[in-house]
Amino acid sequence: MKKIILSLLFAVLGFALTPQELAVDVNYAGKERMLTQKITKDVFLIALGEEKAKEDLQKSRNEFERILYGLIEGDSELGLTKITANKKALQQAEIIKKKWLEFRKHIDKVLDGDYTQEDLNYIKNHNLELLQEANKLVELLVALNPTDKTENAQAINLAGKCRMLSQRIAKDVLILKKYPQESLTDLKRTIEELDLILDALENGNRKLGVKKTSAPWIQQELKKAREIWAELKKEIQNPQDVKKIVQLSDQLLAQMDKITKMYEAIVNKGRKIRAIKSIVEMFEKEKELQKHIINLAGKQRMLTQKMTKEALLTAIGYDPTSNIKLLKEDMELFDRTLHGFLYGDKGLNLPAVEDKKVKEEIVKVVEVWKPFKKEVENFIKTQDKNSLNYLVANNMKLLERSNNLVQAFKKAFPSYDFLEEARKEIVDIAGRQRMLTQKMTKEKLLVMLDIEKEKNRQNLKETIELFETSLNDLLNGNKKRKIVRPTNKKVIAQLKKVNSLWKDLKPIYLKEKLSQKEMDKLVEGNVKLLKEMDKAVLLTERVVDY
Amino acid sequence: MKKVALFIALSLGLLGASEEEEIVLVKITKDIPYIYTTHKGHKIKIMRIQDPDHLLLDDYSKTSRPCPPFCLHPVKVDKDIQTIQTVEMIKFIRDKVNSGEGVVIDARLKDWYVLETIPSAINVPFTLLQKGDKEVARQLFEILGMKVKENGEWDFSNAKELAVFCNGVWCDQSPRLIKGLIKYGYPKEKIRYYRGGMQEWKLLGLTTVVEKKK
Amino acid sequence: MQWLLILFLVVGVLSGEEELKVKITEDIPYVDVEIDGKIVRIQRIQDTEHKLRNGYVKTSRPAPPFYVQEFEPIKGIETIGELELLDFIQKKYNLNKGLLIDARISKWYRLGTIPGAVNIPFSLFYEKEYADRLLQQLGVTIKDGKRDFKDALDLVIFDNGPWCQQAVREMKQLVRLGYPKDKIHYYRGGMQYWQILGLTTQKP
Repeated sequence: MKKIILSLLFAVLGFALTPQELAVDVNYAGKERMLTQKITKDVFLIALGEEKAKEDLQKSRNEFERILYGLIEGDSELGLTKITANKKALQQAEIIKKKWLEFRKHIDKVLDGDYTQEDLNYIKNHNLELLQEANKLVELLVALNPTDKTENAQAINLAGKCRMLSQRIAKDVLILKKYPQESLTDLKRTIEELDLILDALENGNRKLGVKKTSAPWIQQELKKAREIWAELKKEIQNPQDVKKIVQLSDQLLAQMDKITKMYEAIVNKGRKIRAIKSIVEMFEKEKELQKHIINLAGKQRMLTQKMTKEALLTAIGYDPTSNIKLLKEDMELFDRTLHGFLYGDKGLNLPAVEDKKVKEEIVKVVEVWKPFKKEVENFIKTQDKNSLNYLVANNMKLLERSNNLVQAFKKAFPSYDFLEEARKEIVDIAGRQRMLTQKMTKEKLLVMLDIEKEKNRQNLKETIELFETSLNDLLNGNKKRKIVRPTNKKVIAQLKKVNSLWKDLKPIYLKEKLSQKEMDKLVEGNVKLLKEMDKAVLLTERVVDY
Repeated sequence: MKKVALFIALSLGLLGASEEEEIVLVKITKDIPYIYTTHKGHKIKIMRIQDPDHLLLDDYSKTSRPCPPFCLHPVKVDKDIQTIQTVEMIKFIRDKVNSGEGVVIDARLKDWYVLETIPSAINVPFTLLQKGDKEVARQLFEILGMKVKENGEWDFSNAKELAVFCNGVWCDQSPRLIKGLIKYGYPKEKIRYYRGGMQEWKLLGLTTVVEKKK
Repeated sequence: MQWLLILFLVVGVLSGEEELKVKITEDIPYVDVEIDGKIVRIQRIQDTEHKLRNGYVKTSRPAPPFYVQEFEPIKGIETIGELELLDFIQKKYNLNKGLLIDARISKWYRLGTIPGAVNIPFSLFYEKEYADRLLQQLGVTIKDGKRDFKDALDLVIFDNGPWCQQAVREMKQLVRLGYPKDKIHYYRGGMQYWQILGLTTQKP
């Protein structure tokens, strides 16, 4: 039973299954861009005599390669799965690989320390090409991911790009140091781009599709990035100390990395929370559905008594037209609900029952219901006395079996909610009150009709007592029965309403002979009592603080 | 409010026997419906207010005492000092105070203490150790069971266990007293910090003692 | 007109960067939390005469079921206070390294919660299908058919307060499912302490 409902709900609310984190591959492809520039930067540091840069170069070279192969073949440690989903992206990765293998030859020579001017030239002239190819892959992967096109997603992109630019600018400076005759165009472009993006992140830029962030901690970090950048720019204007420039550009890289991660955190957090909310929503819906089913099953009990009451009213000639009509309606509702339990009913919002034990109990109700229904139908047509006698003789059996079904449903829906458990007793008693309003009216009519008069008089007395003590317990609490006195104003008001209705009706139930006026009051009053009690049950279930 | 004014507390002791059978709707824990203790020689029953509608309306329902000085405090006063809450406090009174092994200390100024306090608490205002010197500390500690050995060393092996409280999360009187206790060498393992203090006590509708009406 | 002017003055003082009279601690006037692209500021009610007047000043909720919780109801799970919770929001929650969980049933949650908290009713973790899906969102992976909690998020879990059992139930169930205790923190004060200290709440 439970599983069926669950899968039904998951099918409807499938979005909980969408990937929760930003795609890892986009991140790594982005890193590759940065690494092309970092590697080149390191090469020229070495070319300028900074042997220590070799270690860094080796690391970056290995990292670039590992990520590249990870993207193509998958790498579980990096959390990368093979990019098979899209041929274009895979093709693009292969293009990078081809260019990289050529590029790498020259890098390795630098690492080995036996490089020539030609190697440096190659690296100088081809690193931007490699960067462009890596960039193409990023774009392809981004398009593959149905990421939200929020400002934050764009901010991640831009902040990520700054990481690359920080390395690129150091590289540009180093190349100029090595080849003073080179044009300044590259460097100028990089500076402009960094200026533009940093300003966009800090203040927002419509063209670039990014707004000023509302997160104060990111604003703070952006301010720091801006300070590093200002210092770096000053050094570049007057490049005395290359080491200082490299150091500052690395600082900027680290800072922009931190900022990128903060933007990512916001997007990822939002997604995660949305996913959690949708799962919780499904859970709540399932619980609501279970409550709904149990409530309907509970109402069936009441209907057994209500139908019998209506048949009796017809028999004594009290507004037969209306009562026959009501009887027919109640019969149809009982029948439809029972059918709905077995096979599902969209209109009643009922799924078909799967649980074996519940099914068994339904079948047992059906066994009694089938002949009962026949007699109701017959009574509606002919008002035959024998049919009435059948209803009188069998309604308690139908009630009993309907009650067993309620219990079976309760078992099938395990509840781990101890708060609901604490309230269950109350809801149970309040729910039973609805049935009792009908049962006592039925018994009153039986007495009036002189059908097993003494027995029914006794029954009536007991039903009234049960109804009254239960109502009293619900209103004032009962320590021994562990019924808490309600403190919720709405619940109290509703129960008081029921109570005053009851006080008004009770004398009529106890009176031997009824006038027409009293009879009217009984017939109207018991239905009203039922309705108000029903409201009290619903309120009890819904209020937070009972 | 479940306040026991001391001048009527005498008659309360008589209620004890007949109440054993009472069904308690608002218990403290599953196994503890209420406990007994003594306050300045009077037997007092500590239980929760039984009216489920009862609201705390007095100054302990104030949300916004100015900070500074009434700032929020971390959970711990010191990493070696155990923070406790109401159930542990109740058990402390039942198991330690009643047997004489432990003492509940109200660290607030006396004005607060006489207005309302936790049953069995004695008043040691935090200022005592702040203003005082080693001699004051010695006198206090001796009351709490510390012995001065012949060589002048302080022996805490029979010193009582303490549960120290003040007004609550926003009150620094008990953290201050605890710091004073530590400063003069009271063993940390014998000190407990009841952080929720009067506010938590009252929010749970527990019995308090009033010596002087406001 | 005059009262309007006064109103403007009051609002002006509160909304500006003026020094707050009721801070959280001397050094922390407020804490910002990011929720769905918006920043919500957590601070204390500034009216120094304000008293809490909702159900959270009820002293005597019937016990059972509302028993008072021990300070550390589950050994190994740290109990934290307001300052620790605010620190968690800044250092973990805002940076997506931790989650703030309101363990109460949803009707309670909808009445108001701590800004940023996501509602995971305690009873949900008792049902395997839901528990598995949720754990996945908390960073739990499946390795060789077993749950792997290596990258599981740090959690702060709370409920109505010291007299409420919902958070403890949730934590117990999480521990049963294998969640490492050192990644769970219990804000015992819950909604009651949060509100009695006049801290900002939010209707989700």
